[in-house]
Amino acid sequence: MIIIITLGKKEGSVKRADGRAFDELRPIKIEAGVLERADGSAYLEFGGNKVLVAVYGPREFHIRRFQKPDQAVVRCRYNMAPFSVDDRKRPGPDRRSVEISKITSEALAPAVFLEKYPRSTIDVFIEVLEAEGGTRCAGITAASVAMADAGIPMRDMVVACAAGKADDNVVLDLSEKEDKEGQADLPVAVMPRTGEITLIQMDGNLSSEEFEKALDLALEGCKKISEIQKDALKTRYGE
Amino acid sequence: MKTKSGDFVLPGDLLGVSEEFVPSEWTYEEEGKIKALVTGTVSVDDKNKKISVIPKTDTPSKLAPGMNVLGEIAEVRGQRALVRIQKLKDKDRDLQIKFTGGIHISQAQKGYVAKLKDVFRIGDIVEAQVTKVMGLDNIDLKTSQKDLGVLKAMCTKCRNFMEKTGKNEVYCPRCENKETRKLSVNYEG
Repeated sequence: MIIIITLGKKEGSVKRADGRAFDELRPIKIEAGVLERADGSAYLEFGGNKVLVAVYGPREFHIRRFQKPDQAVVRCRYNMAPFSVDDRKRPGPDRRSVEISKITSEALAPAVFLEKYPRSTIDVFIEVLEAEGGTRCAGITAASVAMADAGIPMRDMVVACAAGKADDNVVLDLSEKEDKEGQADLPVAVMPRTGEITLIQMDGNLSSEEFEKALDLALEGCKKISEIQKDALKTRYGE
Repeated sequence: MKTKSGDFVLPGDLLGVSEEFVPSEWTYEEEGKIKALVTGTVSVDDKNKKISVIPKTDTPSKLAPGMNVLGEIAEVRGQRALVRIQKLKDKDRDLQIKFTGGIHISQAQKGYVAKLKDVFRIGDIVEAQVTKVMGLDNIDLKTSQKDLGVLKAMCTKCRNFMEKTGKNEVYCPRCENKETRKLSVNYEG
């Protein structure tokens, strides 16, 4: 008997560390309205990520000098629980979480009708209970469901997904291992109806063809996640 | 795609075009298209050609004429008493900012009021109805109904809570001071 071992380099045959196809998302689950006292909330499981989001507002902005006289401000706090990663994460804001807080609020703000609530603030609290790569995308996805749950007037629900390059292949939705050992990571947040991108970041290196491919892949991923976002609200409030 | 009354929509869902309808509550218009702002069900008003969304989620509190609010008297001037509005009476969700509303002397009580200080004092907790909202800083209130007015009054001498003794009369049990107020029927001393 002859056994032929082929080291396929074709995309269709790319197998990843966790056995997913190159354009396959990790299993995802979203639930809206999980917290009693928050104005809006959502819980999301995305592969090994577990994220809880609470939204308050529009409410009074106590820091007067940061108020805007003609519109609301979206404030965001991204926080990782000490037990969310393998080594204990030192609690409190650090350089990484401050950055993610900032980019999250900037990714969500374009979808909200801020001018309806001048001088106020919309507070978004993202708590990462368990992390396994791609928490910023998970946070943004869950936060927009929580904002919809809070009844905040929005143009669209922002959805985020990452693509990247691992083992010389452009792949969708990097896991923690692929993120750490891979060559590039490209998180993208988008308003799916109009296709407006509200966040795009990249670390690592991609050639321009690879970038195009990764972006297309990420946008496709966003579309799939967007359907799950909608289903979450439908199950909570639908027929 | 045509939407009809009762359809379940999500933020950004297309409801119709601006030639068909006038966008009403919880909708917005963008490039000639009418879209939903929140999660809810569609309501089509064929008579007035209006389309709106009835939210299924909780929605942010909004001040509008006819609503009852709870607040605290911040200042009593000659013709106006200013109320720091704390919340809407039948909604727990915070208002977008701390509004200040004014009660004109003519709207404080039925009948003639000689001095507004006989009706309100600083620190009183009142229930009032919104009569006018113009922008964020021009809000008019009234307390001229039976169920509106002071809910809790404090003695101007010793700041003790006052007890109700008669219609629009309060009494301080600590310093035996007597004062007048426009009391609500729901006064709880």
